[in-house]
Amino acid sequence: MPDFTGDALLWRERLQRRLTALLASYGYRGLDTPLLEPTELFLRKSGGELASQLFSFTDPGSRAVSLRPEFTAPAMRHYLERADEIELPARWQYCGPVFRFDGASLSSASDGRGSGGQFTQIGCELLGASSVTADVELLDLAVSALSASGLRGWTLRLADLSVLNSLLDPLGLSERARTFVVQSVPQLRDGPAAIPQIIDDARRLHVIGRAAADDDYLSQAVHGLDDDEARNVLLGVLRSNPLDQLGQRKPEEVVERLLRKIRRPDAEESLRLALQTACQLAQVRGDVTPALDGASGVLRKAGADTTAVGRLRQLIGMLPEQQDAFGRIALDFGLVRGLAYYNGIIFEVSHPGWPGPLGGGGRYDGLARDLGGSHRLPALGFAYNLDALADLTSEDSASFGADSRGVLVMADSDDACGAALRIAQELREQGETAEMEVTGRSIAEARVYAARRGLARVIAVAEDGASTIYDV
Amino acid sequence: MSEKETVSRQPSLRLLLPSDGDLHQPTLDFLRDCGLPVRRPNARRYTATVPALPGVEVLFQRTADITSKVEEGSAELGITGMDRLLEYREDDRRAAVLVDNLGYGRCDLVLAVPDVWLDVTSLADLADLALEFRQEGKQLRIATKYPRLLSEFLHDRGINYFTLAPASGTLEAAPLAGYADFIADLTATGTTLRENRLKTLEDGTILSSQACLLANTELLAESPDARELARGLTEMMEAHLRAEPYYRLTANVQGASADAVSAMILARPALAGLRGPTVARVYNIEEQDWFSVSLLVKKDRLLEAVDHLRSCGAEDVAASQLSYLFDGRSHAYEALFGAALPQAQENSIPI
Repeated sequence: MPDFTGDALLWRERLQRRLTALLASYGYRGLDTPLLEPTELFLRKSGGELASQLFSFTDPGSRAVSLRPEFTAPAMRHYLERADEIELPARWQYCGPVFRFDGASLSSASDGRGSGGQFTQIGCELLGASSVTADVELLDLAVSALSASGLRGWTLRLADLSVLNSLLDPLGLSERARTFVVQSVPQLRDGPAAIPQIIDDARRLHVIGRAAADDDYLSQAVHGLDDDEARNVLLGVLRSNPLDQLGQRKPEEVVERLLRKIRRPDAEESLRLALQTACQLAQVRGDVTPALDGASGVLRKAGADTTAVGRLRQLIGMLPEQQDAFGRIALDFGLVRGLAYYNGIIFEVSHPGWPGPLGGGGRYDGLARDLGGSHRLPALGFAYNLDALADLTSEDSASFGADSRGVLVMADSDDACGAALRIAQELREQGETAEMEVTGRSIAEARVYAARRGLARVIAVAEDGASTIYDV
Repeated sequence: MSEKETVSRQPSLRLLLPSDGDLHQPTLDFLRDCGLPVRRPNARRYTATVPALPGVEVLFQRTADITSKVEEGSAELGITGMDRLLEYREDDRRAAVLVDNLGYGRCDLVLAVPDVWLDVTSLADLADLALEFRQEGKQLRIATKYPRLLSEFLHDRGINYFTLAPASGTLEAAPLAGYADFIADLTATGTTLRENRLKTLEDGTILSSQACLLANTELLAESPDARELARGLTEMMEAHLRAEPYYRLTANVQGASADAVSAMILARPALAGLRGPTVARVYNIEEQDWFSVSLLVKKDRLLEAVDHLRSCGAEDVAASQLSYLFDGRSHAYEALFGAALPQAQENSIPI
């Protein structure tokens, strides 16, 4: 985060109040959470990306803690701890500093736009609603927030991961391979040329591996048996060992996984097919209507269910007429936000004047369970980088310093100090901003200074309390 | 400089050595082999000297503490395992690696899972299992004394759903005791793991470690005396390590001329020394055509080289252990401090 001071800070605070009021008008109530949370909370939630961006350390009580990198996981933790008391749907808004290591050095943080690991996030969560109406509310609110900030020239790119999921459903991938395909979508945007490299990555990350020699004898042992017979043989092999080290696993689970592994068709071929299919979808982007038709086409060609595209079409139809002529909503099926936990709509807002995304959000119905809840909880939310919004709209704030003009009060001699302090205090009580002259300037110097600072008047006070007013 | 002055001057380089565990005795043996034997006047004292390098003070510390002691500036140099260095290091200028392969104290930090996890043989399986656990609202629990190296290793490979179980005592028992599902631990031979019915994964080696020499470069930058002693110490270690793989061979060979003899030997360049053989006349009263040949040969090719010399007509082939092999410069030292030939005689090291 750059240092914020003077008008820039006033502007950011005003922007924050504006957005807070907007969110409140939709029924979102405030939520604040600690800066420090157990590291595990964020690891449980995030995909690989955030794990390496956490500022983690061990507190004096030997617990692993992290500075919060975002608010969604703490908000969900808050809900899970008080699920009995909290009535759904719950609408929360939040604003505060978040910390993500971005490799930039701290010394470069205070001047440039590199965040240096910290920025101010403002956003909201809507828990307990799975309807299209909830998706519409969130998107509408995200666009309204941009309008409220006065930003022009933004682009909101929207996708729905259930479209990609419908496409992958018929392919029978392992859970991990499926996650890997979803995370590869940004590379697939650039076309099928990226696929060999992605498959190499899959090998390196051990998403697909060589068949290990260890299971070879087991796969020979069950060759030609049907699944039930094979299950019995493998369970027999396993039970011939002492089973006191299985940990949290049951013998049946080990056998089930082993059988899946032995019987799984060539992992590399299914992964390649999934990547090729996903690649076609990832090329679909642009204006809403042609992009929806394009996505339908890819799904039909692959023989996949097209219900998800229908829902997205319905959602976009329900969005209020785009109130803002200053931005654009586009579809982009090549969009996958870095976080690995979205399952429905996802969106990201960008602006040519800012290097990274300004913010974004989406639906993450699985998060409650990831964080230890007993079941899935429909949930969605979005967040913006408030520092970025403030920076991009700072030109609009040029006229905004005017109403904060004040006066400079000075004593015309050393003996007049007491009187000058009293006058300044009276002015403040009347609601004026009264700054004391404390460096011994002459009246002429003080007028120059006041002009430079944008103050309206200089008031020189004599020992008897008489004051002379100089307009600047 | 007189002997008396040398002894009385303040130590200008402090070297931390392991006082305990697997690295203690091998470190003393290694320094002896480098020609830098450590003299410890009393086994209960935690300080000692290196008579070959006056000015060096040896301090014995727990192996696990050496990295942080060097970092905080308690000493300019230290010897510890690469595993401990990478696990504990906070600042790579205050604990820079001068020599990363001292050639002893070898062990691997590995992931080891219960034998009965028949379905898990590779990291891919572990990653898949971590996701499966996550779907069921469970977490893989791993016991280790190397939380930092383990977390980095797993995160790099896209495995993020796990928790670290508190580790103390013998880790191998953790799965049996039930507080962890599997472990990440050091192993030299794998025997202890096997005895505890644990197996390693084909691609689950987190780090192959050995002893290394680390330096606080900020301290060394401040003191030319300490730097010069550090260079001497590093040179002796490097030269010893470079010499280790070689024998020196000398033989008498009969031939028409020195050129003719060297041509025979050079017919097989791989057996003809680092840069070719040294050939010199042998002055013999009866015969005029004997030459002495001297060359360095890799230990694993000794017999081959002897046979080759014989085929060139060699007699009296002698092989001897090489003590030091100094390169043109000290690579480790220069990597940190740039080229620095010995200064004036005042500062030179009596080697």
